[in-house]
Amino acid sequence: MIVEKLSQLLGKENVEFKPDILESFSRDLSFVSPIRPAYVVKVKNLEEVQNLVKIANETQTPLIPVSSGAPHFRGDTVPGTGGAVIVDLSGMKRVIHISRKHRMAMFEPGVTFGELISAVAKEGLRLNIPLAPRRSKSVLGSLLEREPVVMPIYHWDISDPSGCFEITFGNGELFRTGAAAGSGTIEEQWAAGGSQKEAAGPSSASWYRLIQGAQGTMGIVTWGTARCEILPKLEEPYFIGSSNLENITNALHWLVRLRLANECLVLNNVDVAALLANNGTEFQKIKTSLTPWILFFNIAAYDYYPEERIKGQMEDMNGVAKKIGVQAVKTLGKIHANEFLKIIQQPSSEPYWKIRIQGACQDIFFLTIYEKLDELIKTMHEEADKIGFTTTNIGIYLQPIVQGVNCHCEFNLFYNPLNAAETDKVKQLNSIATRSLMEKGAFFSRPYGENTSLIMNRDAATVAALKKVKQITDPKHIMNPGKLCF
Amino acid sequence: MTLNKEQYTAFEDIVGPEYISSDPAILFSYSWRSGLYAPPQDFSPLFEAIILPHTNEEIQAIVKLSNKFKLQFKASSTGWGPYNDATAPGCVKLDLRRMNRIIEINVKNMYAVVEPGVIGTQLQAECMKLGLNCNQNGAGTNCSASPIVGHCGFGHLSQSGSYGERNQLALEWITPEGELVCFGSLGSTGAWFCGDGPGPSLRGAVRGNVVPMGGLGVFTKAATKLYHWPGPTSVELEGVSPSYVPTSIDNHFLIRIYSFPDMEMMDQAQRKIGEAEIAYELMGFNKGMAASNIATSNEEMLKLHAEFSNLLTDFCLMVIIGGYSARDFEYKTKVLNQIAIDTQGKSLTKISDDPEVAAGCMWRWLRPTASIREVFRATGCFAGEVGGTDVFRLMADYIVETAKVKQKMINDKLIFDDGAPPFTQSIEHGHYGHGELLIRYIPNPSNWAGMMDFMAKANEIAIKQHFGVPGHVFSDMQHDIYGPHVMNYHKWLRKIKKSFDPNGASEGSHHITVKE
Ligand SMILES: Cc1cc2nc3c(=O)[nH]c(=O)nc-3n(C[C@H](O)[C@H](O)[C@H](O)COP(=O)(O)OP(=O)(O)OC[C@H]3O[C@@H](n4cnc5c(N)ncnc54)[C@H](O)[C@@H]3O)c2cc1C
Repeated sequence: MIVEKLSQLLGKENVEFKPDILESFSRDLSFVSPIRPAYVVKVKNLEEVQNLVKIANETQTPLIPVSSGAPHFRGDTVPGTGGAVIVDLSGMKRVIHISRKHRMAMFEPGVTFGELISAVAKEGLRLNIPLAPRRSKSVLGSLLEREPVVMPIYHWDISDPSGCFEITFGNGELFRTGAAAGSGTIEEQWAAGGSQKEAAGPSSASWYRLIQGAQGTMGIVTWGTARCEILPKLEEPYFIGSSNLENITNALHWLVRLRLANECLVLNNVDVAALLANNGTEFQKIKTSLTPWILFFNIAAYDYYPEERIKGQMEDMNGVAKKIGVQAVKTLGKIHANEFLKIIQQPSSEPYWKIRIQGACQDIFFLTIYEKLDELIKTMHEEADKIGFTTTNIGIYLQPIVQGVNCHCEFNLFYNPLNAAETDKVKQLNSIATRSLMEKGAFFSRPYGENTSLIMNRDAATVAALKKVKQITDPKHIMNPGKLCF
Repeated sequence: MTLNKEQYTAFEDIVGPEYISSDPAILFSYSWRSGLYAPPQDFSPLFEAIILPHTNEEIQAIVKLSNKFKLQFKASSTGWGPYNDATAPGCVKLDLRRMNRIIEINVKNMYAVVEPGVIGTQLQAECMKLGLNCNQNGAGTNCSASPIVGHCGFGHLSQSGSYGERNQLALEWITPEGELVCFGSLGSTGAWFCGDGPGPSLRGAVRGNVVPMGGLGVFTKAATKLYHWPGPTSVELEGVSPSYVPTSIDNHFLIRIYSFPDMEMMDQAQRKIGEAEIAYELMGFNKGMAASNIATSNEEMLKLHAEFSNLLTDFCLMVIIGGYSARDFEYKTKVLNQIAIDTQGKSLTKISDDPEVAAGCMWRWLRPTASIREVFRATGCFAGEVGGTDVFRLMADYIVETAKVKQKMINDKLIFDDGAPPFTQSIEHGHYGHGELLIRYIPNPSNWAGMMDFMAKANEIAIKQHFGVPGHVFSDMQHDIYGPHVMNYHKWLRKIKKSFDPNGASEGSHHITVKE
């Protein structure tokens, strides 16, 4: 019996099969069909993970690694098949190593943003984080998902700020990616002056890229590293409000291209209101006080002549703004840029901003380039109109990533999950809009939930190649079966 | 082995008689070995035929035929280096020089799409017209502009322009079995801006810090990130090579070579410059390279080398600042001057006081074309240690260790005596680094044997002292030496090779083969 083996390996107290717990892992806030896991197990270290993967291979038991706490949103941790074991890594909470010199941090899967932000800050460092992640979100989980981050100038590559990973592949073999591969143990590498920061390699493969975006289908990661940046000495945040998206993207382009801004992102008035408001009345008030588009950016300076740098960059930024015909301001409506900066440099306050007002939120997100944005937003609105979902209630988040080469575009459909008709509308809109957006060139690089096959089926050659990789890492398909194309 | 008539005709049917040859004069010219890692033998094994395809369809057909005929194929873009060679009979060369189009330059989202036959200088010239720049292979702008072709792909510009592994966006890949795979946004939407997904990124299967050296199919088009270019849209030159100066680089640029008292100070300066984000270029430099670069003849180089020996320590940095405005330039210069004071860096007056020398060096390092002078002057060929990518200091320390072995070779008079200081590259404002040790030699049997001995010792140092997997590690033999110490990565790499190239058709002797 698998339960005996699991109990023997992990201790009885760490093998959970109470119905309410299993039920809580059987569904999330996405629309994927609920399937109950057979067990939820808590693991504490690499050895347990390795033994667990061994047992899973012997017994053909599906494993679903989960690092973040609830609520989950995307269906990736809901079992895709019966008899699965949820591998709960949220108890692995060690921050293993922080190096100010090499600007990096190493940590286990259970470490959340709040925890890591304060740990690296003590060393004079900071993380490049996603937009106000939920309190329970695992940093490692976020890296593995190639989640967009708010400082595009430090996002050189789509994989950033990931460094190296320690992974037990589905076939049970242990691997460390990039510089962490060696030679030698991690401690020997530290003694030699090494740092597990270079993600590529070893040699002519970059395994971290095959692990990211895999939704736990390749193996179980037991630690990861993140590249950090140094804490600024001075910061000067601003807003640019506009109803003209082209002006906004022109400003984005130059702010990133000239490396003028650290945090740099665009939200519509709905999303700004959702981030700030504590209740429905506040939400409406904030929303109506704002321009349709809000570009937020933060000019920062470091150790050398910080005042001079800030002043100069502000001059240059104003020059850029003038040319484009926009104006940078410190307050928009009643919101002060300094307050807003504080909000986006931390995880979201509780309850999580996406569910604070209405109780649920369905995100539709993809990558694109600036020139396509207008058309894609129009498409989304047309589809919402058709279904009868109020377009002025759709949150929009635009995040330049890869130093402005790509733009992450996210529609946030806030809704009340207790209202069946509204829920049904959002569900329909989610699949219809995804299809239409794809038709118009939106690239869904991270497919989740029930739209996955629609997205993956577009690219049969990539699917065939990915299956070959999967065959190498997890030949018995024990890792999160049913997800992506596996 | 030579191709039989049926095989030759089949290939000829694909590209037409004008674009295939097995004339010995042509075959020998493709296998002449000089320059980088030149062995005592003048020629490597001959290819069976040289084929110049022009489209994906032609390449797919050639690849499929090679599989059918149990032949091997090896692609090259400019063909500059030993990894372009056949290592045994039974291999046809796909010379991609006819695939030379710049497909797209997107200014607002800052990327370009190229075929492999486009060289760096062509893409750079087009980008500069638009106020943009692309990273360049340190080997020179004569290399392919594709981010997935040149060995590692970093170079002088990597401080502000990163390198191939991280610059690459969407990619068109013809697998070793002849299937066309389009990475990222290209496969789903036909656009080039992203190379990753849907789901895991296949970029990880086709390259790491180094490319697969012809051993994993053919890359026919690739998109690469672009960066802001703070200089003029074109640059006028006065004079004729080797004595020329650019006359139109505006005054928002500055070049310096600083000498530091020791490694610790150089390392600190590298980090401070990186964290302040002020450098357009930052490299660990040495007197041998500086002398070779400034000189216009071997005699002058020897003179300069002697002069610099009194002025420069073994721990030097070359810095170029490029301000996007007068204000930006002024600020960055002020910070640089302060960092130099803080880290006891002394500026080489030959550069700081002679505007002509400075301008010539700057242009050679900005394009860049500098490597050619540095490596070929004196002996006409070179080798050495190509480290990996990791944190800067680790890579610098590795080269300092291997330099001890080089010094012994100098003492034994096997190689040119240009001292043994390292050269290093700082990447992404100091986040990463790369190190190399340049060795210039005459390729006779005893020197070559010395080189081989050096490489063996360098491997031992890398493994025993935990310096990672250097860039020079390619071939079954080398992977099998390193793999067991490095998480058995060689087994995983071989699994990729086997999965995508079960017949071993893509000549893998410089990557890895399907052998057990
Ligand atoms: C003087 C000198 C300095 C150098 N300095 C550096 C440096 O600073 N940084 C660095 O990274 N490298 C450096 N190198 C190595 C350099 O990257 C290689 O020599 C490289 O071959 C340059 O040419 P290329 O980019 O046109 O590639 P090629 O020579 O055409 O090819 C390189 C490899 O890729 C394969 N290949 C080529 N095109 C394709 C394709 N389209 N599809 C599949 N495979 C293909 C080839 O088979 C070959 O194995 C240096 C070399 C020299 C000679």
